[in-house]
Amino acid sequence: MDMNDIDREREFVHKSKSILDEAETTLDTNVLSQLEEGRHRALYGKERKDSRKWHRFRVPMLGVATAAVVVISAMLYLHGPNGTNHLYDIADIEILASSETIDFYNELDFCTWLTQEREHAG
Amino acid sequence: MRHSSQALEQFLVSVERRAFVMAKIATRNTDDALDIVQDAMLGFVKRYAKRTEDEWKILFFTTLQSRIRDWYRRTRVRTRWRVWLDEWRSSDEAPTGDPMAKLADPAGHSPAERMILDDSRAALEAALRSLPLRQQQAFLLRAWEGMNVRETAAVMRCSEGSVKTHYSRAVTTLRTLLENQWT
Repeated sequence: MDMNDIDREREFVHKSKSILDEAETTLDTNVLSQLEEGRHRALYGKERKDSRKWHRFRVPMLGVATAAVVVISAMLYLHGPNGTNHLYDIADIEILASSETIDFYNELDFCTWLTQEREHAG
Repeated sequence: MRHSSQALEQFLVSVERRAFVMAKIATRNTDDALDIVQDAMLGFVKRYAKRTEDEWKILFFTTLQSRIRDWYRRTRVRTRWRVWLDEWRSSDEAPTGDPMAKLADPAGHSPAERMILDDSRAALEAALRSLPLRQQQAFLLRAWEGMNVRETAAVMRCSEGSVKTHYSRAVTTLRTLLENQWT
């Protein structure tokens, strides 16, 4: 490498540096505010670090969740038990999920039967 | 050693823009670059905030380059089957900038000067992106950040000989691609 080439290389590096310096000073305000936000998060840890990432994936995740619910509902509808059995299933789930004891539901069944018997008799 | 959060904040202010430009050149994506810089700042504050201020610059850029390398590894695998999505993402990126920032030139350049600068910048960024990641890192740290060979080797976690090789190859390629355009 002769002196001219060394000078040309130095000039090239200097010009590259100037262009990159200029790129650094002309960042748009949106980027600058997000950098500031990230800096505050790093220094003072006000928010979870992944909040930006989760925000970005929130819409696709909601879409996937909705699609999953639709598919499962369709499968249950097409392949599950027919007719009024669905109602019993839902009632069973409610009973299982409830904090009331089984005796309470037995009494409730008895009261329902008693009312129906009276209606028939009347 | 304990530092005031003000000193730490001043340091991060002094490096964050440069870190973003480096990450943006490597990733070509504003969101990914912002995530990388934020992760680097978090990692730096968590691990190295108590070190002496003289060490901060090297340690911050070491963290940043490590995050960029992680991103690069993850993305390289992902893009093998998602090339079409990348194209969609880069075209999607266009409207995210601040339109007001594009109207006024903060450096006070005339529209003609602005256009030449923008062209030179776009050409340099494109040429830098065409380089392998290690050459890109070596060039940015040596030529822009002004680090010496030893510091660059520490940041890139490689030997000084490797830094010299990467830097030399980067300069040769960039000169071939750009010198004629810039003269």
